[in-house]
Amino acid sequence: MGQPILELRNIFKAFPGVTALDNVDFDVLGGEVHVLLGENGAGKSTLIKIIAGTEKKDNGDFIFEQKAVEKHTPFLMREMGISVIHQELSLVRLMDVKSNLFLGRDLKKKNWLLSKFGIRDDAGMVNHCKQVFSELGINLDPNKSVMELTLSQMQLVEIAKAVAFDSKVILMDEPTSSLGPEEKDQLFRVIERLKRRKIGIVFVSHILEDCMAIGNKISVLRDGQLVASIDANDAEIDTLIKLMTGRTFQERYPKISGIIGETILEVRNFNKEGVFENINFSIKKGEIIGFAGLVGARRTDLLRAVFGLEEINTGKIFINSKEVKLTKPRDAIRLGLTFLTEDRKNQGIFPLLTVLENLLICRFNFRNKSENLRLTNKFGYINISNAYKISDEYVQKFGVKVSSLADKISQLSGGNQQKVLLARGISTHASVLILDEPTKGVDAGGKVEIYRIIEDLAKTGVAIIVISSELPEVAAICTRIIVMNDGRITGELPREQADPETLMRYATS
Amino acid sequence: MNENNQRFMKSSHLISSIFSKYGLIFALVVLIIFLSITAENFLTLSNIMNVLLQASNIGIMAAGLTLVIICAEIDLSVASIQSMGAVVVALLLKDYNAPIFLAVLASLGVGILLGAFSGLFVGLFAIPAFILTLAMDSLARGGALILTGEQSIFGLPEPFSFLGQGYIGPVPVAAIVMGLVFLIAHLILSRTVLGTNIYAVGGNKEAARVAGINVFAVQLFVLTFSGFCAALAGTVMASRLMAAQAIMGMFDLMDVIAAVVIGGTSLLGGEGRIIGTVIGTLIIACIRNGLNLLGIAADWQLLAVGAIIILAVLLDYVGKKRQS
Ligand SMILES: Nc1ncnc2c1ncn2[C@@H]1O[C@H](COP(=O)(O)OP(=O)(O)OP(=O)(O)O)[C@@H](O)[C@H]1O
Ligand SMILES: [Mg+2]
Repeated sequence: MGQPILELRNIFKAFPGVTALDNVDFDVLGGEVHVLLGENGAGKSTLIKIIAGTEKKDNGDFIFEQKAVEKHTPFLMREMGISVIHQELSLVRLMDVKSNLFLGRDLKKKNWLLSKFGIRDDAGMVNHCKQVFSELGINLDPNKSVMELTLSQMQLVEIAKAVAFDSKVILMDEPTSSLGPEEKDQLFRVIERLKRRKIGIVFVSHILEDCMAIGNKISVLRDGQLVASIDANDAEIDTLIKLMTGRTFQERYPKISGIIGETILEVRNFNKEGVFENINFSIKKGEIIGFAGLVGARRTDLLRAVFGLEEINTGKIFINSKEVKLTKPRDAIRLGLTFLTEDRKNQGIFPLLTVLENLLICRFNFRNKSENLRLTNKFGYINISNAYKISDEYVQKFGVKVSSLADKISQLSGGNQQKVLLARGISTHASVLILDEPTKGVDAGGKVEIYRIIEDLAKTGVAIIVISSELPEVAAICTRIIVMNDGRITGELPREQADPETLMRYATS
Repeated sequence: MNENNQRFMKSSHLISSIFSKYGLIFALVVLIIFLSITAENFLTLSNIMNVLLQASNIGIMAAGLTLVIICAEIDLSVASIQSMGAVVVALLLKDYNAPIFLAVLASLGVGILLGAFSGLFVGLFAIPAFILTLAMDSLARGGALILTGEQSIFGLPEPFSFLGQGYIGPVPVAAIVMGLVFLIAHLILSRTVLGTNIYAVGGNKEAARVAGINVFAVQLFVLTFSGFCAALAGTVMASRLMAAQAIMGMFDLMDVIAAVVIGGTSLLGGEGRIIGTVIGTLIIACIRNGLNLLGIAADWQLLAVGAIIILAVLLDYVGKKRQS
């Protein structure tokens, strides 16, 4: 496929305590999707950031279109033709789609005088925007406000923005991690068009099926080292896992189940105007139920409301057959519920706090009288050595890759942050766990470990509610599946009957 | 990187975190050296104690404000609550012959009430603290003016002077009070759940809500604590001057905010430490004292303070930059 657009040679990058990249070579060819694989903390995002100029390499050569590049700033990289689609999208929410597409380079009026005064050419921008969209097969109104878009639509706008910038290389860090099947297809169709335009794409994902489906070449990182670079056609999932982890897994999606007891949580007649209506469901101790549905089915809204994060118009909650007052998260946690958000960056982590504090923050606020290691005295004075002991246990249990518990959580890789949040969720010994995309960004091995932890909890009678856009995950770990469409429950089936076709039928009915 | 978060750090991290504060300490040292060369009386024990005495009310207010700013709020009413505190204690002593102990308690109570009032509105109705405490600034100042009938209050009972004029050994009592307030604020921030919650709410309010932190209680606490500190500062000041006046300390707000911000607390919230505020307070106090010793007029002092604040922050920035 000709000359590489981008060549990296011997890239080395160390953070205090870890070598993130150890003499890595990496090429990007035009019209090719180069997949980057690796366990959590292997160095994938670091490599992406170095290419994008947001992180500085310690050593190594950076060659763009046969020319060595010395200066690396995000601005210069973008000018050169490198764009990033971050997982945490960076559109300006209060502006409309077209303004985001041209952010910082608004088209000026053609008229000489008007252009001198910097008058925007709105019509011209709409036209240009429509043109880019039609080339990419994106169906969106340029005048719509970004706030009204779904996550996947925002992602498409970001890609269109990169194209409008004439980017030659587009980097995508975990773009598929919370997309439903249809949105994923849409994204892949757009990527195919990018390939035809000879744009080079770097694609990071933990969903191996996606990597196989869209990739041309697959490179695998392990502990900062490049362990293989192979043609996607020759790759097999088992080999890739072996390369990534050095281990093999018997089953990536083991069927798990708990020990079923009495009904613990019952949700009756939940209504929120324009969001969901007439919702009734219940869960028994030890049960693991999954909420399936297309994106926009309002699963997250519903479970946020159950946890007291959103107001409802009508509805009652019963715990152990007693009606309870639950209007805010504090009530919910006191009643034994816990909630893991899918929006890690905005609603999950405290970026400026340490790993330890992020992990124990709920435990700090909700003291458990029966705990054997006292975390605080009754004045809220923290026992630091016990705090270390307790958080260390969780870090071991979840296999979080961290050099010190006193590191800021923002220094962890995405998947490792996710594990810390999960640990926070179970740290209060809740009896009902609500997990929204629990394995978002977690690698294949880490997922299996998390399934095992969920199984252990279910075996002790903890009730678990899972939302997941990964169908094999839902089908494997949930004993019962509730399907939603457009704010209504449209079906409920045991795991045995939950094949993709049936789920899809209910999800669209 | 970790410069602002000393909590839960192992010693190796601690050293690097202190090292990154190097810029700030460096600024203080340079300032002290400069002043001891140019002003011959600067580096004497009595003058140093004098600096601490003069710093006391700024430092006490800065301790309270540090918590507020870490929580990503602001309190613009501290200087006026300070006057209110001074006026209340003076009036009770002078006009009502109240016992000193009760008068001081009442003054602190007024500070707590005013702070809690701001906190209530900010926490319950999500009114920006900027607007609310700006209004409180006006309310408290106006209230103090009305209470005093715009007159100064003199002739307070002699024993009351202990707080602001007394010494224990060579150390002024007021400086000891300031030290205690710093210590309490430090312990709250670094060792308690409340402190962790303050950082958490300041760093990511939405995540704090999801994690079940009582965001309202945290906001209420920081503003109440700030009101308490301001009234305490006012009591100390009244005792030092043995007088109270509604317009005293009119320009202290600037010094207090400067002390906190020079100390490395981020105005965006979520980051900051009391030790930084201590150094910030000392820098401000040294500047004020040094300029007085050098006989520089008040108008030029204002100019100089502005310039030196910029310089100090710049040095801190350079220090941090080299760190990372
Ligand atoms: N700013 C930082 N300071 C210190 N260490 C860091 C920093 N950023 C990343 N690291 C460390 O570098 C290593 C590689 O991180 P990176 O984010 O590249 O992993 P990743 O492959 O993207 O993982 P994931 O799949 O979880 O997203 C990790 O050990 C991480 O903790
Ligand atoms: Mg990553």
